Amino acid sequence: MKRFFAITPIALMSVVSLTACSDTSSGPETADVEEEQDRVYIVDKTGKKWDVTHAQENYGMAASKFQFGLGPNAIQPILNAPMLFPGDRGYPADDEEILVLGANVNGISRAYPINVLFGYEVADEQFGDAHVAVAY
Amino acid sequence: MAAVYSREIDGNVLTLSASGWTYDYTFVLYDYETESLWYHLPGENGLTCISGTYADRKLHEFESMRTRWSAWKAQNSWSGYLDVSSLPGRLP
Repeated sequence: MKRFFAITPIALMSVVSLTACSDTSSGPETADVEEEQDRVYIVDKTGKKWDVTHAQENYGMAASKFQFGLGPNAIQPILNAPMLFPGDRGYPADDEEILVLGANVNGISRAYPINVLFGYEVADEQFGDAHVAVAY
Repeated sequence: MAAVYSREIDGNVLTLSASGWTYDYTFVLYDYETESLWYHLPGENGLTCISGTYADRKLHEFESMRTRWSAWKAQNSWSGYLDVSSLPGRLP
């Protein structure tokens, strides 16, 4: 069981994961598709239209197969996440078995607990002068 | 899928976030600046812009590792660790 819990992102992601693991006959909710002139749009739950014409024509990504459409603000990314370092309160013990995504960029090492990253999907970070997205 | 991608393109820094969409149960990202859609295509490295201003462009993928903290710490003794307690939307 997760040690930490974020209500909104985890609840939304639970919907995604539980639906993904569910019986295929129920399946996730697929996109509402609209076609206007020669453009193809998928419409999310907020009513926002996303033009996926290029994705469909060039990458074979059928508009009808986009799933959920929770809206762009449903899952907020982590921005400029503070880090703990050895000696800081809350820094995990060396033998902790937490599952993490470890990244080493520009000689800088950081770890992100997977169960937390899952709830935010993306952490927009800067490793030295490199701007990166740590994504789950 | 867990991965680390560059957010830099043409001298600009993008803010990437979840679009709220998935495709084949993989999250579709978008950038705040142009609302282009970014997706990790099967069998490829990096993120590909599938729709929008940066269509067909790619964001480089850096090496990363999904592992246990104990193993990561053993190889990266001064590694930073996400300060979870400071994140918004979390229970105390």
